[in-house]
Amino acid sequence: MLWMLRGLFYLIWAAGAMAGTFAFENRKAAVPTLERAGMVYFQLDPVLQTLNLLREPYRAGKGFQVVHQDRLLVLGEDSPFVILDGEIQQMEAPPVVEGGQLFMPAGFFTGPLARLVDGQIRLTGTTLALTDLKLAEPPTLSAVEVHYLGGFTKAVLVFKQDVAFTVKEGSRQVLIQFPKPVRYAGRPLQFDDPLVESCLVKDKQVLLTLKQENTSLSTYSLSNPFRIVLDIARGRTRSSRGAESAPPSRFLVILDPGHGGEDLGAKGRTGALEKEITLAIALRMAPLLAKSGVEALLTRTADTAVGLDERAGFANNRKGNLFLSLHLNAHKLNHARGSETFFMSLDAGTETAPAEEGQLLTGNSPLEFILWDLAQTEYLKDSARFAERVQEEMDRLYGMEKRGVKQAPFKVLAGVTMPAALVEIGFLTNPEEEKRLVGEVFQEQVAQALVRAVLRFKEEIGERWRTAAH
Amino acid sequence: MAHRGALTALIAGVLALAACRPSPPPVGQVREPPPPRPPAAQTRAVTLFFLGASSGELIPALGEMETSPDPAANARRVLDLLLAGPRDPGLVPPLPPGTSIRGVYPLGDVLVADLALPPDTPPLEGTHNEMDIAYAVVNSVCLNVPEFKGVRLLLNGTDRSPLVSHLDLTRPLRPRL
Repeated sequence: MLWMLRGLFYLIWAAGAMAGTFAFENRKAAVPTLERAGMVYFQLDPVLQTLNLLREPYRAGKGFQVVHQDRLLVLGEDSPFVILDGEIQQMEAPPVVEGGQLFMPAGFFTGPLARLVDGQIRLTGTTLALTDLKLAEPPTLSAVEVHYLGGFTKAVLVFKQDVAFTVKEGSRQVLIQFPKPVRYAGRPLQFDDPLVESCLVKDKQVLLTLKQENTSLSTYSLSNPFRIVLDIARGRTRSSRGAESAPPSRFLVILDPGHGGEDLGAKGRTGALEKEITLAIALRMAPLLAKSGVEALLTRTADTAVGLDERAGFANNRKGNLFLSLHLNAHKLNHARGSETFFMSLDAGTETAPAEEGQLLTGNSPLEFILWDLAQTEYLKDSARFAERVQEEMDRLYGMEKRGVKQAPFKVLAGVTMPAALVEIGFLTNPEEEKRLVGEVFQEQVAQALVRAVLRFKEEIGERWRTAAH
Repeated sequence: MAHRGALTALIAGVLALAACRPSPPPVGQVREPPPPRPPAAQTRAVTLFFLGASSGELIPALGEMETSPDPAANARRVLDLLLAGPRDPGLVPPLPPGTSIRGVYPLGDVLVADLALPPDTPPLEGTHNEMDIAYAVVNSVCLNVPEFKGVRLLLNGTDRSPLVSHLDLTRPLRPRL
């Protein structure tokens, strides 16, 4: 009886099953497939085996992981989402578990899996074909050499092949970043050198930790074999450290009036619109700044729709020194009032700096802490300082509820590469504040307050530049 | 020999029948065992985040829910309670009325929470409204279901909802407690 039931179940299962193929180089592997609701699903494990990949339980939680060259793909049995290197991606449908086997929708193979192996997977009928696989080896670091040459240290990273790289400087760190994970067989290195303390290779980064602050760095590459050379000397004679670089010949402020065009933003009870008031205030600020010798550009000068990426791109392309996004707030409770100022948080939950080194905000490794610290020292400290100046001036203007300086993961702040803040000038949903915000006198007062904040920030930064230059 | 075999079989049969007959219960014992009770559902207190009617800020409120061994099921229950709204009249629901759950999907230590806002929901105005909605969900889930360290919030199936114009929802949000 039991065998009959099993047979019946098999027949029912087989009715939805088809034979598929996974083609890779000259190999072809048979892959069981299923059709459900007009969609084709391929059994995952045979495809992974063909690629010499393995599905294993996810170490940090429920689900499975597939690791390829330090890249991590996480998937769940009942989830239409997968995470590839921290990015969540949606598939057309959740997986199907049939006969104890995991079947993934075709889009998983043509999308996340193809990106994991850095190739293209095309679907034709019930055949998946992997092409354009980047067979080149990952960047391989063969040696790290550090030589003190009297007055400066030459650190040389020797690679087996040419690699693209970028260099970032922190107060006591130099971070060399690569587009792909770097292969390195050696252990973290400690140096008996007057300037360079250690070298750590992890994932797509090589981190040099220095023994002191106030160093200068010169970076270049040599070929045959490919080498990245870093000349590190005492004293900051040159720098590319954002706001701490040499004093700029001009100080350019990018003013970003929020919303515009069809995007009205917040609306007041009497019909006042956020997009109009923010523009009016920004237009008042520009000539006030010009009078003080500060150039200002607006991301929009009329009632036009400008995307958030465009706003950030505008600021970056013009190499602004400071970015201020102007907004008006709204609340479902119309008594909410006051102004508040935001600057970017790298981690959405990060409200304050870590209490002590090693207590991490964005991850669990010292390297992540250092990365956070690098970014923090590059722009966030200045962004926080600027946000404080803005809020101080707004508090003085309002003389009432102080909502304070906060951090938030806002899109427009995430895109700009300069100190940046977003000010919520007041609540348009509060009838009292709406009345003030539409008035020209108050708009002029707000513009003057924000200009004072910019000038105070510029003065403080200028003081630092002057100190650094001597 | 054949007779002895038949006798043995007869005795065995009689014994078997006797074993099948119900025997009278011994004096002082209950005849029928009590029917098995369904296992009592485990409940526990949870902390949910609603808007204070006077402060306008997110504040915690206590609730109670049945627990499951499955973290995703617990997260869904937390969201059900959040969407059901506060019992305390001094609190206001941060999410638009009529919001429902399209799905919750655990991915490692991140919960993907896909919420359906009513079709006529206007764009959320102001950063405050956006943050109230997002962090009411994130704080409530992460505080009560510690398996989840963050929430990736989707509105109507997308992280690029035109209803949200300030917050970056393309990355998981961590709680702000």
